[in-house]
Amino acid sequence: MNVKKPKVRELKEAIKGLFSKPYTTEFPYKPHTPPARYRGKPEYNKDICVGCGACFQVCPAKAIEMIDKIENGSATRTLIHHPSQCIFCGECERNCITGEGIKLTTKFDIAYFEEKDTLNSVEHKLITCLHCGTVIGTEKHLQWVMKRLGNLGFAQPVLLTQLMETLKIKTDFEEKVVPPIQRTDMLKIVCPKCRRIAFISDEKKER
Amino acid sequence: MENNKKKKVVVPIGPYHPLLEEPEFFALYCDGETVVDVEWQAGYNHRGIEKLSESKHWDQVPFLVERICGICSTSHPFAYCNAVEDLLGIKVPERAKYIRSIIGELERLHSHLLWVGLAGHFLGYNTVFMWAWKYREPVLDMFEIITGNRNHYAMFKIGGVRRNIENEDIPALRKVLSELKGQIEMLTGAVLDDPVLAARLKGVGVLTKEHIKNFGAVGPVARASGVDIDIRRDDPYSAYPLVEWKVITTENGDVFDKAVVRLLECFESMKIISQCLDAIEGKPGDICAEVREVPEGEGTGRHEAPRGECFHYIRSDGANSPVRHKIRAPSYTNIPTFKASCIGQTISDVAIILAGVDPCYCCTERVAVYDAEKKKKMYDFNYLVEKSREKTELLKKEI
Repeated sequence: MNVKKPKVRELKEAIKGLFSKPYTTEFPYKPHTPPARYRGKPEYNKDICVGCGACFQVCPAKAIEMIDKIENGSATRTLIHHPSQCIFCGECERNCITGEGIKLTTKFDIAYFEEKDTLNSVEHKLITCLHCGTVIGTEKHLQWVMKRLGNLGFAQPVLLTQLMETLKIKTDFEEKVVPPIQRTDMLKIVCPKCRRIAFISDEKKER
Repeated sequence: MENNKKKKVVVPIGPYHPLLEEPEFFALYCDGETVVDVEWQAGYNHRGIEKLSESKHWDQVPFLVERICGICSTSHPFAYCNAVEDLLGIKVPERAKYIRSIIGELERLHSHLLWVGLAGHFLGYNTVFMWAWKYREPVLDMFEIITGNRNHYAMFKIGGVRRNIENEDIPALRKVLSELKGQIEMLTGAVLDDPVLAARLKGVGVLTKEHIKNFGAVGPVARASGVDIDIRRDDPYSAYPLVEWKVITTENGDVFDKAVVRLLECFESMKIISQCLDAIEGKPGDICAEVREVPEGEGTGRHEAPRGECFHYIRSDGANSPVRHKIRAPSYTNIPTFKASCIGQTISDVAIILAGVDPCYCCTERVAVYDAEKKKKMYDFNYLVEKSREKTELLKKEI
């Protein structure tokens, strides 16, 4: 059998290997730069994120946690990203309504000693219904919707009142709704359900 | 070790923790050195993927099925997307079709190189192992540049692909392919010319056409035995009917031919990729069709994974997630062929025969050998690999 040919080939590779640099990288000693489109750890951009919670809804691995905390007087929404559950699919980035609220970075070295060091979270002020107390949305989200709608937004009482509040124009709509809810309460910050009740009950009264 | 009690006790080897996908258990019954019977058990790594898929949104399922297998991680989303598109009856944009084929073929390249390397490793021919895995690395780097990850590419979406292949990535991909072509040619020559490998693998673990048809084996295992089946040609999908390539078949059906089929398929894959790159270069277009909702109905999708036909069936009731999702991976039909290929072979050949169908290597890790008369445990997997390497050494001396 012809043994020479393969042996010569192997020898050629061996000599080539002798004079070339090692094929492996010197990773721990020299830093590694991942490619520009590498899918690494997702991070929130605190200025752009509006806290709509889309990333929480679309995450296939349930790596994003959304906590709505309503305590007397103040309501906050916290979105927490858990890298230990993350599969780096990029669905959160793709479905982000602002486009840049959460973005995959090129960070690949995300090992940690304590989980709290690696958590990435963003906190938002929540707007709740003055009558029943359910969540309407975050303050930034409503502002974002208002901006997107433009002039059409003035037709929406909650958005209008919210805008006046942020512009610090004094209105008497911030007061608490005194039950039973009435038609005059429609311009106050109430959820769609309560607004419907207000509208219908007032109609009834007039008849 | 004597079995004094003469009881028929089956001792399972290895902890059954889910190390990788599809851990299985093999019991080899031996008469001296010759294997008399093989027993196969599966189901140790039941993760409930099908059930889990029923609780996910249509768009989330590709990420789940991608994680069935770590090596052929794009074949399951490929088949799943084919199934849903079959149900929807939508047209995938041309560019998306080409990108899909590129990803599918790059995966075949790296999977086949991985197999060649591991086969060499099992035979004690570690040079092949080092070469094959070295040449596989640029393919994985390419994946990292195009899709953002070495594995689990997250490219597939119902109606198209998630990410575009940018024009500036194409020259790099071409460079990798042209380098790889020379390297695989060298590797193919090294494997096919080597007299030791030829003596070691020819006539070992032969599967005839009859065997393939009886067991329903698919993929390179079937093609090595001369059964000319390939889903890419028989049931055209994606960009495969738009490019020129041919199905590789060989006649003998032994482990050597399985290696030949896989190595030659690498060249076909490279041909497909370069044609697809020509088709998409400088021609911008949509990469995803719009999918609003999934209507009631059922659909099937197939994809020629590196190991053979991967089959997905889905049924929808018009809601947000599948009602039923059935998956059949190629290894499931290929593994029972051991019943035909192992019998009559020596123990030292069993490791490479088991590796020949390219199952997951965690499968072979659960091998235990029983003496046909004494019914006692004799060997474990490490012993088998050692035996296999010893035989190669012996042959080397003879030649």
